[in-house]
Amino acid sequence: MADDIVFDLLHSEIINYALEQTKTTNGSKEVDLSVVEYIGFAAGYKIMERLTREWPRFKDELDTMKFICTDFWTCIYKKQIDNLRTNHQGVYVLQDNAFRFLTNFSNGHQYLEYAPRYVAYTCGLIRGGLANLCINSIVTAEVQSMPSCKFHIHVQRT
Amino acid sequence: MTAQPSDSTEFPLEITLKPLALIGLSGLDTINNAIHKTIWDAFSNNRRPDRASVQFKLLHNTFEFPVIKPKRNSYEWYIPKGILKKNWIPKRVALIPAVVVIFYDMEWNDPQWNEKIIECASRVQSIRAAVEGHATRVAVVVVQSGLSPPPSEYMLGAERAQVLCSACEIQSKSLFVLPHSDHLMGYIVRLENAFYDIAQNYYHHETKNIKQHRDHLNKTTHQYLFVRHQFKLGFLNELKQDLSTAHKHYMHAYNNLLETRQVDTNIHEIRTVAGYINYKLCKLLFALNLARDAIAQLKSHIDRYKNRIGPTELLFEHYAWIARQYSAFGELFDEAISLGLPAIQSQHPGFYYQHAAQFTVMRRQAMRSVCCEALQYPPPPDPMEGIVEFYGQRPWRPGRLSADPHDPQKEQAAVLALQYNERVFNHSAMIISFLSSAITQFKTFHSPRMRKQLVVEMANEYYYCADYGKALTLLTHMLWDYRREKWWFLASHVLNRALQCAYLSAKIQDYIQLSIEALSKHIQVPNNDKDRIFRNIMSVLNLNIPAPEPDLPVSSQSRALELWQLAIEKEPLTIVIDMVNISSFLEVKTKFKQAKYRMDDTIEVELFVRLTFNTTLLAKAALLTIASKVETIEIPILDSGMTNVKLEGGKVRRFLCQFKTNPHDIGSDMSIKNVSFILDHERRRKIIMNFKVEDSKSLEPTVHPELLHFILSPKSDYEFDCIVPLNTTSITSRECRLSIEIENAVPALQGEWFPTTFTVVNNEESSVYDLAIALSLLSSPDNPNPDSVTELSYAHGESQPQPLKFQVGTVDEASAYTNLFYLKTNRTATATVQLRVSYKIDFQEMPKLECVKDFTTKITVIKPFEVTTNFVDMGFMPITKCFVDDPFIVMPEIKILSPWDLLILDTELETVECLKYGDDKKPSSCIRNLQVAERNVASDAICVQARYKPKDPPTRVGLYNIMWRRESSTSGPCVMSSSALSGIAIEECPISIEVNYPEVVELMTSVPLKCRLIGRTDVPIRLSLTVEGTDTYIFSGYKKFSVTVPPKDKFELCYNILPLVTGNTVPPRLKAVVLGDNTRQEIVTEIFEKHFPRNIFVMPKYK
Amino acid sequence: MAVCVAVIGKDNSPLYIGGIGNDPNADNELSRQWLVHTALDALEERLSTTNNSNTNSSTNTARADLRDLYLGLLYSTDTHKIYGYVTNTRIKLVLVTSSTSPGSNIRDAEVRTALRRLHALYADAICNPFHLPGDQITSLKFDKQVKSLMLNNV
Repeated sequence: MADDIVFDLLHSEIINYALEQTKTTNGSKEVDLSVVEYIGFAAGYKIMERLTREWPRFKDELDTMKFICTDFWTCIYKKQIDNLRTNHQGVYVLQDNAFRFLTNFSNGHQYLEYAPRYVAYTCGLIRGGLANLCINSIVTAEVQSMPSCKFHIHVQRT
Repeated sequence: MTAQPSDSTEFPLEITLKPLALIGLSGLDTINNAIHKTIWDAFSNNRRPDRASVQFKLLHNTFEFPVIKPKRNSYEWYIPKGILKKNWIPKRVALIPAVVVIFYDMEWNDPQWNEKIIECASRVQSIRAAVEGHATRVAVVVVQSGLSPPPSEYMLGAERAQVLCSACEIQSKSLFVLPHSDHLMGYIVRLENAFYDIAQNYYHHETKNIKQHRDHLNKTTHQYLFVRHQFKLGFLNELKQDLSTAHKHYMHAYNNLLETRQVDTNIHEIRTVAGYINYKLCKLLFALNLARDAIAQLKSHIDRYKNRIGPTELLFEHYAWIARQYSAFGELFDEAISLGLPAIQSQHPGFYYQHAAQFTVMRRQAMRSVCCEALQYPPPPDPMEGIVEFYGQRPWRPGRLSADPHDPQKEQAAVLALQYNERVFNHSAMIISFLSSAITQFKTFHSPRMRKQLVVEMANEYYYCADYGKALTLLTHMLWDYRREKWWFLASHVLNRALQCAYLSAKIQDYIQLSIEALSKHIQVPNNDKDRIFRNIMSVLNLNIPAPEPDLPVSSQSRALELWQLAIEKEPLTIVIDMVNISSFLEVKTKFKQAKYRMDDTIEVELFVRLTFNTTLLAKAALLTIASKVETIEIPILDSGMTNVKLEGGKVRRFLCQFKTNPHDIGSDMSIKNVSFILDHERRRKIIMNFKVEDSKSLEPTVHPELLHFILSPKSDYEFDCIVPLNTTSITSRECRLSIEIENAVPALQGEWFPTTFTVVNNEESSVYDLAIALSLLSSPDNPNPDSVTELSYAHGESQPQPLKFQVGTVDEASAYTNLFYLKTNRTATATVQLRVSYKIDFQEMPKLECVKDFTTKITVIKPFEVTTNFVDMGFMPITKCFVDDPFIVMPEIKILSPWDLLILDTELETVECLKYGDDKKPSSCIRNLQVAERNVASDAICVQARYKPKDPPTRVGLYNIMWRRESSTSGPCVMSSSALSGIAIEECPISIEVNYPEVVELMTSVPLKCRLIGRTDVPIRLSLTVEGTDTYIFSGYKKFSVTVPPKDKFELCYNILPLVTGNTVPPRLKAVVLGDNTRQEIVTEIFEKHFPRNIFVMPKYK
Repeated sequence: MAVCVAVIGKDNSPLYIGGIGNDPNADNELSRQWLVHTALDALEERLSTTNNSNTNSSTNTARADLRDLYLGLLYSTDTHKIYGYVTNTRIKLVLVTSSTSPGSNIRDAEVRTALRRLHALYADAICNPFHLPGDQITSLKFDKQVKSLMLNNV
């Protein structure tokens, strides 16, 4: 579908743009994807209000994570998270076996070193969404073999 | 329950108190008679709720009962003058007992029995006479000592009690005996319950009396009586503690009252009585645990009466009455809660107190509108004087029922009197009191915000009664909360009022602080006139009296001006404002440019200041306070080189503060503590605005900073909002310009004192001094506790405590310092040695600058050699076990691992207890002074034998010590390395054998063969011996025979053998079979096997 | 007819308070603010009991009710009825109706619908790129939509 691919293309162009920006400002080789992550954060934060409108009040944190895995993911990536694991102490691992931003260009190890660029936005998206649900977290992603991707959510408790 | 200020609406005590059956006690002389006093105390004291609902009254001889009214037979011509007589209840609760109890001291076996009984009967008679006309019951209590009478008199008691009853004309159930013994309290409680029963009986009788009247009444003239009778029935049932019946009658009374025709002259009486009945109803409903019904009753009560306003010139009375209905209900509700009624956030007494306060406010409004002309109390005669017989009637026209005032002049005076009284009434005190009750309730029932609103209302009330100090205190507290929750509209409301209070009380500190906050962009001020407020701040700064706030009460203004005149030139001359806690017109953000600075760097702090109020602010000075571990310094903020700082409204200014560190700050954190702006006027009054930076301020940001990145806001100041403050930086030492070279012959060998030479070269551009080098060991993953296994030293052999310090002193530029240290480790791992080089250097701008740098060097330690052991018998054949007293050889093999040549100086074996040297003295080593190289193996041999068989097989034969040194260091001291040699099994054999087999024999040459069998036990051992393997030999002697080996002695066998062939041969060997106890057969076979060789080489005969 | 509608942030700060009143003066605004501010007490109480009953695992039906974002009538005063709604993102919506004006008999379902629509309007409003979540809502479009919601729907 053309409308879906527009989102994907915009996403990859934003990453290119952000990389270009950091290159010109820093002049170093260090890749700073925080802007992409912030964009994801803002989007996740704002979209969450809309997505939870029809959803009953969350029972607890796990209930919220299940929502992220199902409805939230479906709305954005047209599929659900394939596997959710937790240690029940604030760490959640969400595994997507065919992560949308990776499926387009790789199936294995080619471009593996560039994978972090294509997960930053989504990390921010999850973090922003959770932030609006009053769950502060750190979200990191792990890509071992594309297009599979694991998102690690560490809930920050104060 | 909080006592509210009294006014005419207050309920009389007899209405609010719980009715208790009245019981009169007569004949108790509590003053002179100790026993009587005890009895009275037991009745009257400690009336806990679990005791009967009665009250006792001590009747003295002089007590007079109320005169009984003549009984009315017909109501036909009777027109009641009012609804409820004021004296009816007090009579019931204080004057007419339900029961009178006569106490009389008398023992059943009293010698003066006859006189006593007559006296007692006459007392009863006189009481009877006194209560004549009342249906009051009479009972007698005989007070006795409580000593049990002799058995013969058991019957006497019963008889005499009977006699007493008839003498006093009472029923036997009204006669009681009270022994004043140990169990007095128990008797008292029983008596009390009995009296209570009698009292109930009495009140029941009274209700019947009242009910009889009903038939005579008619609704047209006697509507009041319907109310009155039902009220009385209700009250009597309350005395009976029959609460639901009481409620029923009160309800009838209430409904009857509703039907009464209401006119202006009786409105006061009707609503007063209605209020009392409603109070009773609600109280009973709470007592019956019907809180919902009580609430519904109050609601319908208010609904019914809220429009019965009465004469408009007395409108305030109506609101006063409603307020009282609410507050009284609040108290009832509160009381019920304290008795266990659960209440919830949405339904608790606070609401009723709040209503009471609201209606008191309306009462005051009504007063203001109708009483403005009541400036003076009317001239005598005082219309308020006069006795009123009925509740709620007017003293100037008691008992009048007609609708029109009979004396307009008197009526007018009375209205004036009421209005005047209302004018002087302190409404504020009442409102504050109601509010304070409400506040307590809202606090209890989790409504902090409602509570705050009421506190603000309370503060307003203080403001109205000109108590500006109290109002200000309350308002400033509330301001805090509204500010925190960002309810700026409410905060503005509170702040403006507080500012008025601060002005009116001339509190300079508060006035300035509130004015500064009023300039905040969040705060709305009257007429939006912030310039006026700014001018006021400047006025106070210049010791001028500020302009008054708008809308001040006229009456207080001149007073305020006087206060200002007194205060303006006095303390506080320095006004310190904590700007972080308020919202203000000045915002500050600070950040260190770097999170880390070196000692010789210039530290830079960026300071961003935004002035949101549109003006130009000239600060005399601005200071930045920086604190480190050792000191706190203030750094002036310079504005183009000047200390005067000029800020423009609506703009963000950036200032840069640069400073050098203190040499003592090294290795510690430095933080920004405060930024202050000082406004002053000729140094007399100054305003210090402090922006304190709190260390532990973990205020959760309400806005996620991430979101700020993308705000495309028309506001230009978001750049300011996006700044993330950095208020702490750490100071590290200056970069060290000294280098170090390490020289040593690694790897080091385990156990040796290993020398390392180090050379420090000064690459600075000048000489350094106080150079010190400290050596210590660092732990690493494969060597976690280096201190326990590794030693450092300045010289061979002397262990030194760590760190190892070298005080060098001064080293000139481009020169070097060299020294060495020794390291010894007992572990084969890498030892990491840290060399901390510290020194001082002088620079022009920074003398005595300290520099520190840590260097590390890794020293690999390996084993010099590896020791393994072999065990062989005396014929050098490997063995796996040995026998007691049977010598064998321990052969340590030293495999050299060291890449360096070594010299083995000496070796020794320290045997364990159960072993000894083969020939009883320590043998000298066979590998003394042996030079070895890598991959050589040096073999040693020590002959030992077991002394006995230990309980557990030994894990080692002993410690093998090797004295060695590196071959290269000819003079150095030697190293002793010890290794444990593995153990060997020790067996015990009943006999030992010595055989002198030669290794080599010549063909056809006879060789003598001696075999000695030695008994090792305390008993003789019989053996059957056989000689085997005789194919290649000729031998002389017995081939098969039996011997007895004597205990601790020996038996010798002699043979001659002659080999017949050359080469490897099996010589004749003895085999033994133990005769008798054959448990040791196996070991005997083994030792024979061991000692008789399987192989002898036969040489051809030399020809 | 709703007389007042409020959106209150996670931190309990007012994001939007809209009122329809005959009297647009400051006193009216003040009483509206008091009303909404004190309604937070009831909202917080309601939320805390929601959380408690979750942990106590009460009956399923009660639980289902508590998981509804619409909290229903919070309380009523002599003059007003106050309804509450709390989103999953802890934004609180308050709707106030007058119990004195004619046509004040409003069915619960109508209030629920109105609050749900308000939630939808809010969800749109925070996607406004000029709005910073947590700040007051200053969008005129939002104001207009809410005002019409107050007039028409309820």
